[in-house]
Amino acid sequence: MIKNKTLLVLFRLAVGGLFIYAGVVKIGDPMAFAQNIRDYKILSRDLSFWLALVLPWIEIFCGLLLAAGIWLRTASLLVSGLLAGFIVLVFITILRGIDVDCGCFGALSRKADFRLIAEDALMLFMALNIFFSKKS
Amino acid sequence: MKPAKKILVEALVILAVSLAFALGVNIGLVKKYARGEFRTGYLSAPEMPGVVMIGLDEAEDIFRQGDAVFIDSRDSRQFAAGHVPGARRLTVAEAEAESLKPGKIGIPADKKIVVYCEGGDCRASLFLAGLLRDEGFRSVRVFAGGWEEWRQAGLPAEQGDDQE
Repeated sequence: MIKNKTLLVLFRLAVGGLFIYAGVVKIGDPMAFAQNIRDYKILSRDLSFWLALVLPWIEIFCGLLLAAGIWLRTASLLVSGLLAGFIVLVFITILRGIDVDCGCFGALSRKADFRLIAEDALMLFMALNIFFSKKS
Repeated sequence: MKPAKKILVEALVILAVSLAFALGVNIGLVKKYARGEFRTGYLSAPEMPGVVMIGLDEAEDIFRQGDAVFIDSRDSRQFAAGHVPGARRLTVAEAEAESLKPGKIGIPADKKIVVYCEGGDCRASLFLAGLLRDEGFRSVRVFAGGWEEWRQAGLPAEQGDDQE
């Protein structure tokens, strides 16, 4: 695990900033995001609706906490959980051969592909480093 | 407080605050949801004026009446594997590349049209319906359940390429 403090601050700002951004671009059009979630063909229509409403706000608050350095263990753990979930989701989606917009950044989203998994994995690495850098 | 408990409590606070904001900001959508909207699709009617969303029953009725053109917006491979009998194949990309003027694609402007795609809320049929409507077609319907629902219901199917 990385111990360099400067690097850890950079990780916090990078992951936090990206999560804030990802959340903000989605709150403007929750129905489009609900459709995005539905396109993965995993969640029901009702669950997609509720997740589309709440998930962007979870992303924003976790991002804010990470960037501000508050509740770091909790925020980094939640973010790690989300990222791990995204990675599994995209992986399953590729295996099922479903061609879908990832929905990560609202209208600026691109395809759910292996590059996306790599990027999520990089963020997961940073988030886990933040989590383990804090003494319990 | 034990570390694990602290994390759990903080996580619950974050989730509760997120839920509160989500409800507060989207109260209009939540009310619509409570009234039963968004059960067949996430577009509310005013967003797609002139395009009617229909379910399986209505799609089947229209098919049996035989006075409508079904347009399949999936790719040629999916189309060849199975489609609504008599359906025309037209993807969004093709529709955007060529003119859809009623005369050009051989469908009169007042003809009843039912657009569908794979199902599971695929959006191709919605986009295509919007394009058709913009080109002057006046009776455009979207069968939201798409091919998936049609096939599962055991309704008539046909294989092979588009004949026209």
